[in-house]
Amino acid sequence: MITGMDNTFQHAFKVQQRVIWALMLRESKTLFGKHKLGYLWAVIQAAFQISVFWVIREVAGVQAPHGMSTPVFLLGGFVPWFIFSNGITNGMNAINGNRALLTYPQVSPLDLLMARTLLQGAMQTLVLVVLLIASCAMGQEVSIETPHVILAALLLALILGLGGGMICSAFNLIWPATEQLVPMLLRILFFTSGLFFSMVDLPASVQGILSLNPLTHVIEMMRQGFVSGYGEQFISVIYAFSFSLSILTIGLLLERYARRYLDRLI
Amino acid sequence: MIKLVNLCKYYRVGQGVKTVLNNVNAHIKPGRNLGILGQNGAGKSSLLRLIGGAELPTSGHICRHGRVSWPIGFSGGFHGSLSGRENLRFICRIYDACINEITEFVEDFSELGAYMDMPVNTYSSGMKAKLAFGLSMAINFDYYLIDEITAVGDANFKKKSKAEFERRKDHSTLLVVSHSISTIREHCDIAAVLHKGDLLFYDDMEEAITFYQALPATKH
Repeated sequence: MITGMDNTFQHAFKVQQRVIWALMLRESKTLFGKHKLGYLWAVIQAAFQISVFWVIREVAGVQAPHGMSTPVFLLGGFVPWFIFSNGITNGMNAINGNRALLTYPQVSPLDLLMARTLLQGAMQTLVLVVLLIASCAMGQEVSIETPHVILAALLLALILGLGGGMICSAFNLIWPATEQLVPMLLRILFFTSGLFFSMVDLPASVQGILSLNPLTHVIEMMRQGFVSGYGEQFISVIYAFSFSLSILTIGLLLERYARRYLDRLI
Repeated sequence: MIKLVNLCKYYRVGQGVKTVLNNVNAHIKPGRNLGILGQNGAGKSSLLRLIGGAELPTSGHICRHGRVSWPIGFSGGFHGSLSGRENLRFICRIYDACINEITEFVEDFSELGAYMDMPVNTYSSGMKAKLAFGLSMAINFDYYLIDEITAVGDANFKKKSKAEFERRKDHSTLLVVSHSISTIREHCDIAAVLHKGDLLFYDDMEEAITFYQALPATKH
């Protein structure tokens, strides 16, 4: 259907793989390409945000939480957050930014979105590694007890970001006011996902409400990867996984539905 | 062969609906260049975008056997901050074409010289068009989609483009949409007229032209 060579699923899959890879290479040059420091900016941005909250915690006299040093604790919160929120922002911009590319029949809106989100996910993972090493060099205590839990948390953040991005992208096509609304929602999530606080420190009533937010589980899971036993009573892996996969499914369905609205744009 | 099966395309325009294609069935056979005549706003460009796969039909489907080009002359897919060479690589990757071969051809054909390594947003519109045209010639398409043949570049480049097109005709098929009768006469073997959502095929080109000329002027 897409290139008309042969209509097998396998062929379509191969084409999509090729397109996403090509888009990722293209994006990798355009994302930070115009700045002299290039990709270092991604590290600087993350480091800056984390430093701000580190200083706030120090000034407020909050103790280094639960067996990990403050920067590691904050990295556990901010890295999944960046992956997730970038996914959402991509959902808003990926299509508008690259609309002309849709003239090439093998490029679909989904490819634009996936390429960007995957690239940013990879980039944020790299930022995590760089900043962990930097924390270590600064004499902070860095432990990674269960790396596979960290990877699972990163993957969940990616799926949530991708699915959320698709939903936002679809709504944005149908109802352009989405673009104004989503940053507000993101702001709320920023303060309620446990980026800079720990769930276990909160009263039970607040915990109950915040535990509905899948991102909180992902973030606490990430920290559990650093220090096993952290937040165990709170984290529900099943909830985080099923929520993420549901979001992804809804996103894929909506994205397909919203394609008919694309014609208005072109 | 390109097969249009029960193809419908509607656009929402304000409160109303504009019909571009109303249940069109057609076989576009390789080897004979097809010209599609249509008045302004008849939906020629939309038809080309549908055939190229850039847009989805409202209903019905299109079968394509063979590689179909993007509308020739389209240069909107270039990223301004990337160089011509980098843009070219991207297109090669999505079409699974050999990067070295294509680059060599385009460098030679487009006459961009050192500009190949400059960002595309430093190009003049003529240079951009040359790059796009060279690229579409470098990738061997079975069908070339052409929206209003517009000549690119100086006299020399025009001559070269024309020669390249003639060479293409042996193993590729042109699909030209235009409102100009002379364009269609010059490049095509058979013709069809797109009118009020119908695609009417004529074996004899002159018959198509007579019908097209007899159409009342478009009202606005």
